Amino acid sequence: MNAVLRSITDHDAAPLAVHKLTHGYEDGLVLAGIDLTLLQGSVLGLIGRNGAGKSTLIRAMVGLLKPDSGEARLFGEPALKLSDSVKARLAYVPQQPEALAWLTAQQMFDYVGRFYPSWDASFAKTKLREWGILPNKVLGKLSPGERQRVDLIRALASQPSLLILDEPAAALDPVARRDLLREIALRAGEAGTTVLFSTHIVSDLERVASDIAFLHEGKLLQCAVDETKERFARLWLPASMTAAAPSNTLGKTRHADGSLSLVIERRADGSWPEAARLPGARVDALGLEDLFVEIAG
Amino acid sequence: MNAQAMLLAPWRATHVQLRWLSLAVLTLCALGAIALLLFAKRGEPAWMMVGAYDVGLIYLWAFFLSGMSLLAIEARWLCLPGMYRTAVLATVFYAVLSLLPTAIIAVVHGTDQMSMLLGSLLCVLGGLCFALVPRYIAVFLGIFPALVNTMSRLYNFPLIGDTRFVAWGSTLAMALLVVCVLRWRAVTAKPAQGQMGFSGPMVLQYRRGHWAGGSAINSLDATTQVRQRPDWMQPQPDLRHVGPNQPDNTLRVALGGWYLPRTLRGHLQGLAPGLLAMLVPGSILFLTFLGNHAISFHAWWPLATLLIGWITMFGSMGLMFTTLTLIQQRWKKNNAELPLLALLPGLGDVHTAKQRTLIVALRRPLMLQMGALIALLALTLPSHPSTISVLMLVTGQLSCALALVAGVIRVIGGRPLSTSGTFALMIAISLLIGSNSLLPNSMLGAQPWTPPMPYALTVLAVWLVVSVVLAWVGHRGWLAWKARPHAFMPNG
Repeated sequence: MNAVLRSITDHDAAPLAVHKLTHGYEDGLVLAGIDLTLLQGSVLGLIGRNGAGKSTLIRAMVGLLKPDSGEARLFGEPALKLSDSVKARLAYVPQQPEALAWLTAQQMFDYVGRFYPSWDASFAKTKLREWGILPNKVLGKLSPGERQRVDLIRALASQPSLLILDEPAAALDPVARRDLLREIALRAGEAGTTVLFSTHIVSDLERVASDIAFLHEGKLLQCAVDETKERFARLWLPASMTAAAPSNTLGKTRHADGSLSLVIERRADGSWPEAARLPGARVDALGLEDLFVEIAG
Repeated sequence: MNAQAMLLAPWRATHVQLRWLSLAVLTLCALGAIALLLFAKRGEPAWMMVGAYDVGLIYLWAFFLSGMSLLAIEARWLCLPGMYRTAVLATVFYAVLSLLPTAIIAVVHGTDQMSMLLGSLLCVLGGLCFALVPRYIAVFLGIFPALVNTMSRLYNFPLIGDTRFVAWGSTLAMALLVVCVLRWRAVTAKPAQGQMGFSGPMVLQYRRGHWAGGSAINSLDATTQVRQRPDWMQPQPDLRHVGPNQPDNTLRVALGGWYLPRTLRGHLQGLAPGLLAMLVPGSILFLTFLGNHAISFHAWWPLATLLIGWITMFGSMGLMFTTLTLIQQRWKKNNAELPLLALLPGLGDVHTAKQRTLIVALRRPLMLQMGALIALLALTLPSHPSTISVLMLVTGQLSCALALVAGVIRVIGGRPLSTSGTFALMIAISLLIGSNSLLPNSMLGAQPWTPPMPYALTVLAVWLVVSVVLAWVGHRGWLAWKARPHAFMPNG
């Protein structure tokens, strides 16, 4: 997988590029100047706590929400004014999809499939059978998990170049979740599909994502999954040394005995900050889940 | 046993808006009883008071006190036997308490005590029965009094005042009591989630706020509707003329509801429940009228005019509210049809898709409303009614169309009317259409009745004010629609 995240440089060519995206609701700012570029074939896992703004960010990315400032571009076009050719290359599955409750799964595929030039009807039919969904049952009468699977099939059958999934595994059982992850990995690896998905399940990220983006307090922290363990660590400082703790850290927890835990990041030259060399200081490796808890907890 | 918990059970089992509405209905019934006492020239005062009170009792038991069965369902499924007992005892206690005012009036009155008490008891049990029986039966209970009235004429059934009423009414009360007990046991034996379908009890529908007034607009949900309908009542869509070359039909499928293109079988299936529901009251009306007038054109034509006039006028208004509710619902969810449509290739550029969406959302309801207006005029104009009467009818129908346009454009433009605004609009238009409702029938005959000029001018002036407000609302919606990046942005 050619999975690279980088700052905005040539976003016109990128499947997805977000520039200085800011959006807020009545109770405060949710997205504070987000920058992100997703390159062809990358699989980005978007992670954050409930209410962090993951769905808001995704909706702004696909043009379902007009941000307060900044913009999102898909294949070089503004997300709010997509042409048919870009729409044909894009598939999006919202959280807990509820579209077209009055149609059956078969009717929905028949309806939607007419609009996509490379619609794979046999894939849709096979997947429905594999995932045990009755094609003639009205969508409104399916369980939330079944409905999510139908919408995932709908998105995958259109053979998109860019697949955006908002918590796709939330209502799925472990078997269906693993099937979905396998399908995502297959699409990205063989067809070069670019994938962005949000999740709470860190193991899903580790399984398929090439890159990870933490959304916390309106900001996005992004890195390659493989680099995470190397790049971040937990620094423990005894109570006597806390005055020397670096100020610019990702997460900070003070313990009852006065000691301090901090999430630190390697500097550009690959070394840890000076505080790691203080007497009594200890640097612990961080797993992805630990890192998420340390930053967002 | 906690007496306070028992006394408070109805309050705890019902929504706050429903409590206020129930208080308003009871107050209206009390005022009605007083008005009847003061102004009625004929009839027994005691019977009039009991009659007005009985109307309030039916409402109270159908919509308010029946809420205790909801408490019983939850108590049963949360394994709280004490709370279940409280709900049962509170139901019995309030049933007895409901008969107390009637008993006092009957004692003071001195005669007909049993008939009076029996009448009130039938109202209590009838109201509770309405709330507990399956919905497909409950819809017909509303016409039960008319049915009894008709049957009494045709088959000499005893009504109140008849010496045989006590025996007949006691039998009916026993039957209703048995139905109530059996249905209570059946309803509380299953969890609420499993009874939301068409065969579920009416009382479970109250939870969604339909009867609480203001939240009605927000309570309609496509998935819930689909889940509540049996399979044979699901719409049969016609997808033959859908695709990138037929954007209008494509949009109609995505809007669903009555926009959905259907097969012939689908149309018949869609109409069947409505026609069946109308068959029973229609038959009753037919039998009643037949008994009074036999078959004569002069007798039937005014009735037909009245019915068609009402259907067109109230139908036009209902169509406007139904359409607004549906469009509001579609533009509220950000996980339903809008994301699909927003990213569906083949609907044209942003501007074209916006225009087509607005046209599709408005064309069918507007055409139906115009059809209703033409039918109304065709029905009444041959009688050469006065200009002011025709003006009132036309203004009413056109204002409904204006409300539809303004409401829809606000929703699609991203500035939907607030719940209170929609409610105010509903009340204003309902009252105005109500004030026009006497016109179709009154225009008939050799010398059509002309409404008094002050009355007509007042109604027209209010219509004018409502229309100006609607035009302003619509204009703001139009500006918002023009400024919106594309048509499929959710409002929620």
